[in-house]
Amino acid sequence: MNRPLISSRQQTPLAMPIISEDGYIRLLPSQLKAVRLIHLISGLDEYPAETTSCGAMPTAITGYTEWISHTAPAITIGWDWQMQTPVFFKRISEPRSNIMLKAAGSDIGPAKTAAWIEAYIDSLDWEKSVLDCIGLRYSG
Amino acid sequence: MQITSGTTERLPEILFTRISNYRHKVFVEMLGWELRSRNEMELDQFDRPDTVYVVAQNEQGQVSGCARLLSTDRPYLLGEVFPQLLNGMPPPSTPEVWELSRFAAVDFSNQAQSGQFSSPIAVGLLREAIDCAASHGAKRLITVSPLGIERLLRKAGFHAHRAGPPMVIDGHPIFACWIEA
Repeated sequence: MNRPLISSRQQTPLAMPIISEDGYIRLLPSQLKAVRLIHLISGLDEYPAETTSCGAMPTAITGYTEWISHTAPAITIGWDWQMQTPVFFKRISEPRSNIMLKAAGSDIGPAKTAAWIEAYIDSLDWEKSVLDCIGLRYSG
Repeated sequence: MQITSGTTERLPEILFTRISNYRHKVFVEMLGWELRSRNEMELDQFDRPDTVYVVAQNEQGQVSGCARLLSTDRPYLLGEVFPQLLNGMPPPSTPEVWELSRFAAVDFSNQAQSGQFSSPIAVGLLREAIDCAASHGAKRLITVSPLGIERLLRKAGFHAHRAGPPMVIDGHPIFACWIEA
């Protein structure tokens, strides 16, 4: 469940991240690809009425998943998912994180950062960790 | 929906009692948080004369939502109890940063609703709370909350981001989140 995830793409090594005064950890897009995340926790939406994610069917099984880096300070990324049959997970929300990407010395902004993180998430094999965690937390 | 805000001293005593009853019902009875509660009133050391409350009442006058605002230049929940959620950063201490805590929007007169942020007024109450903090000088807010507040903040159109990773407490992940006022 807690195996590290490693992107197979060409990566720029991630030096120890630095947290800014505003709480963001600022990275280059190439450094994002080098981030190794471990699974923290996943859960089902206890109150589906609160789920505001786009694309989720009212009767679908939905939940959240949380991943962190082992660095200090830690990078945190979470997103919502929907389970479809046969067992298949689909990301249904933008990522939520403490990352701000930068290029040419400036922030690229929350929307572009989210797009980069979405691409990063979608390149990872995260579904099995979610399934294992859900199975452990909610079985019996 | 009627929204009222003010400090303990400015709110009618009966409304303050209803707020603490409502918090007991939401946080202790419904969510099962292990909080100090007496006579079905949930209050802690951060409920002081200078604490600002934002409260929503439905057409029957029942409390249907609440929020608590504290300036970070005085003791506050995140700084005193959960500084580990700040990812190694020192807790803010300035009148320009206010803490939002004990946020809930559940209308118990609507049986179909469940969940801490389930009421349709949740987004409106969140906006009112952030505007209220801004009117007291806040340029940014920080909140210690369950993860669900991120969805609400996005729905309300606020720029918010995590201050650090969530921690699992009593089986539920909570985290600290920055909100731009």
